[in-house]
Amino acid sequence: VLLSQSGIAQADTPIYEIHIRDHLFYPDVLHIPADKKVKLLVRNDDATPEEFESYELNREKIIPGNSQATIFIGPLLAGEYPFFGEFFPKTAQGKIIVE
Amino acid sequence: MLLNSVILVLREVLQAALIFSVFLGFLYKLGHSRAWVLFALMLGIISGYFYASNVALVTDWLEGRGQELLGAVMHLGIYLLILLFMLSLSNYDNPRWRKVMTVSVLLGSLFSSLRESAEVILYSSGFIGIPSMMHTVLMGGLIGASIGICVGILFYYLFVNLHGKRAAWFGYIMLLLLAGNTLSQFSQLLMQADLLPTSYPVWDSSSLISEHSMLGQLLFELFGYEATPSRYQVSIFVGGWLIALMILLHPKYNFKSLFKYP
Repeated sequence: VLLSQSGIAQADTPIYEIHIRDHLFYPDVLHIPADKKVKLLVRNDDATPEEFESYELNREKIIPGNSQATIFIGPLLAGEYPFFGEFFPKTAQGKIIVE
Repeated sequence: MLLNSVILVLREVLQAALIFSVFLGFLYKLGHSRAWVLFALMLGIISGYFYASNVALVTDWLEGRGQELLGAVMHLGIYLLILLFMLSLSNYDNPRWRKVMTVSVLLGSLFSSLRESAEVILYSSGFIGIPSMMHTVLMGGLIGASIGICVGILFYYLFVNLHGKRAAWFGYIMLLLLAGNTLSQFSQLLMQADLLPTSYPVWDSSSLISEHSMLGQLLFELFGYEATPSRYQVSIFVGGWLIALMILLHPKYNFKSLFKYP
């Protein structure tokens, strides 16, 4: 699982890294703290673009191929927040567990 | 893959189709030239292609906030252009305001088609190297685009076949819904870029209308429905609606300007 939690990085905002490879998210389950804003760094290792989308998080962002993008989420209440890749929704699925 | 292509392209096309149908409906009723809308559509698709080609560059702008900022500026622009369009409707007898109407329709249509077409182009481009899937994706995209365009045509004919007060009410309500939609997306993009604070949801209506459902998707495209909106999102949405309503209800606003047209 290619998860790197950079800890306190930018103004106390923890950074969590997610990779997209072969239209799958790594890791596909991410644990983040409740009541805290975090920064997701989504790296697309595929050559094709993908769109990170989550209705529960109210987030939607295109991640170009072989590129990376940042998405801020939270503060969130404890619970599960699914996300998916809109371009390849059958394979690119994951969830954020807030605890 | 077919169903996914249909839904994805339908979602993108539907929003632009609704804006186009409302603008075209008003222009038809007023006898105003509609050629600008077609011109804006073509310009929007070309601009969308350039946006899609440079999306990696845009993404890296402003410490990774480029996509959100550009999208937010476009959505705020569409909202302001809808307000300008409302004002020009009230003052249509003035030649200057007719020019304002042309510009607001041109830019509003351009911005709405640019963002939607860019996403469709990006999505399709991902399958260029996969011939076995490209056919399915193109077929799904064609079906999705056709459904979206048909819904737009349906709204257009519904509008132009209404007369007098009914036409005016229908047109203005559609403009208000679309204005709310653009503001909802504007605030969401600012929150995503951390330029607007995110609060806990004001309500959770996902058990009533899920954003995953077809109805939820349709309502999102129509007026930016969110099952779990934040306090700031609701405030901006309501504030934007109040501004639009204040314009419409202002004593000097010629709400009846459309009544005299067939």
